[in-house]
Amino acid sequence: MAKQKKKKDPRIELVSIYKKFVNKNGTLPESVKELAHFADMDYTKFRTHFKSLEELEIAIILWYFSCADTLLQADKESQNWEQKDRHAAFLYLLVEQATGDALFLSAFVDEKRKSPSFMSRFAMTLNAQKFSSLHHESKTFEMLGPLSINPKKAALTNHALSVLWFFAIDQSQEKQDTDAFIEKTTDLLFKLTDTCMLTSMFDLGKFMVTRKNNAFSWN
Amino acid sequence: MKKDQNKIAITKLGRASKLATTGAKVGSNYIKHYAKKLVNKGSQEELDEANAKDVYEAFSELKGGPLKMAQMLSLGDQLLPKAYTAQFAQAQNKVTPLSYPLIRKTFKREVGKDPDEVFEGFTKKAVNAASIGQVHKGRLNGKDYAIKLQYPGVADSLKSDLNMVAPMAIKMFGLKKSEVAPYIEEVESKLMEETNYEQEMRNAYHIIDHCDKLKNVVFPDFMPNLSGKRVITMSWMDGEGLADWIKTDPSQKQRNKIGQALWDFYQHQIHELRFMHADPHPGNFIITPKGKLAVIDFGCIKEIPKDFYLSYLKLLQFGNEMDSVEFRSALIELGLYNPDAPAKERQLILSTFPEMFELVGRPLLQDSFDFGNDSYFKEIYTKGEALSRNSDMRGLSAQGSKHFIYFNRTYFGLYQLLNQLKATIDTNNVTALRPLKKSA
Repeated sequence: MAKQKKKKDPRIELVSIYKKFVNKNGTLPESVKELAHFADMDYTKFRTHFKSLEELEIAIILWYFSCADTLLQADKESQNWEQKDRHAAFLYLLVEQATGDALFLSAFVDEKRKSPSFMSRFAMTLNAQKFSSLHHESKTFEMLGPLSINPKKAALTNHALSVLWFFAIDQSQEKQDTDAFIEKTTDLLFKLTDTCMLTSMFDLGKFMVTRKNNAFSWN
Repeated sequence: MKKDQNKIAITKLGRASKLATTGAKVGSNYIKHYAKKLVNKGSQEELDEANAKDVYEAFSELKGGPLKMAQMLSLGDQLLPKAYTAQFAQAQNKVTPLSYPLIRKTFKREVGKDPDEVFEGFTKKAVNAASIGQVHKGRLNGKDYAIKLQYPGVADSLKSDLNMVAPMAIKMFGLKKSEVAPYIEEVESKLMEETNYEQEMRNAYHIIDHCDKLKNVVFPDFMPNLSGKRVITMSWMDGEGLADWIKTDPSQKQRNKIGQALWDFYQHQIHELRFMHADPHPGNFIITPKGKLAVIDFGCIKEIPKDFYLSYLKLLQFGNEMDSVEFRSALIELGLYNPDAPAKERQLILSTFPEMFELVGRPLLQDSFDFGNDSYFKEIYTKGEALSRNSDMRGLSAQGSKHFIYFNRTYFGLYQLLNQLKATIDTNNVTALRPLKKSA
């Protein structure tokens, strides 16, 4: 029996049309109608798969995240790295995914950074995703787990987004500044979100409270 | 313990504000110092130490250019107060290291393979870090190698720092922008060369080809197939860094041997090649277990133009004959004397420079020289300081050749190293200088 040819995902086809539009015009399409006209396609075809242009644009960015995540998960060596290095590796892979779409990304960032509401909605969408590489158990997570809040995960996701933004406008030779940005911000982020100290503080606080010790009280 | 670096200035503005904050801190150190002095407590050394700490902390957060400057400053531990150089000396080895993913990415981009595919036991963490790169160690075919990787964006950072520092220097020293331009260009071009590892390897080959017969001087083997624009692979040199080696209290004979190797290495480059390693700080040298001097960094190289070199020789020869035609012509050729300048300026140059040249050239014109003699260095610094305090010396119409920047840096760096070694050197082995000695 002849092997059945796998049907191409129509959403991928739409993304491809979208990218062609950006590469040809150097700007984002303003409406679905404009994109449909460009590709000479039925307007409803687009609507069947995406509710809006923004949904398609977000899907592209999420695709970078998803690919980077998959690649890092497949890298056996990285499983032994500390979380900070895994996070940096994720960011380098993320940038690698986006490299082919530099023009789209640049036009996208240029346009979307004007809209703070879009940025916050996008960040929320991103934070709701499950990327294993960005998942990190920490003391804060243990403490806030019952409330379903993981501030470190949100910080890491938002950091990844900021890297993508930086990359989009980076004019340095061979995008070296993006590498420097990743190194410097990762170092800073992990130092800022290192909550080991909190555990010791809570431990000491609990000790002092349970002993009703007032040695350091001003009263 | 080193305080954690918990914020990093990234943009030009951020870096500028960091330097400005440091300036404010140094200012407040002075206020504290003078407040203490009022009650007879604050010592100059305490003040220097507080200033040095603040300046170094700012530099280490910025990396790049300021750190390079910190390295240059730490060359002279008598030129600057001791507390300053102790802090600056940290710059020679300690900077926040790069993450392994970037190391892997950089190596793969330059060499085409992961470091782990090429080397056995490639160290994930840097074994040494300096101002523009960090060093890893790996094993290949039973031999150890040092793999040096450059920090990303270093060239742009250096340019940006220089653009920031130049106006400050112009203002601080009351100079004219047009007068300073050639010097800034010279420093910028050297700094840019240092960020080009392919250039560094070419420099290394040139020096090694011409210096590998020198007694007690050894060099690493370079691996061009495992190197690139931002990666250099060379054979690992076992031994101790020069500064650490000095701390082991070697015998006078060993000190003289290493000192002589250093002297010969530099004199050969200056007088035979006119192409010299212009970064003589202790971090660039290793003393091998067999007691030889290994040169491990070739980033900063200065090519000495022939006309500059010949005028410099003339200056050495006629330095004590201020009325001679040769002395004046050498001064003019080297841009140190303007015959059309007002009489006061001309007189100042002619009355000041011969003494300085005699002093700096003294080791070159003797048969042997004891660099451990601190009184010689005190004499240099006392006279140097008096010169720098002389307000008449500012705004001279003749500022000197731009080549003096790295030429002087090399000589002072070499003298400093020899002083730290407390070495007595046979200075009579430079062929080019022998006729000068006879005439002197």
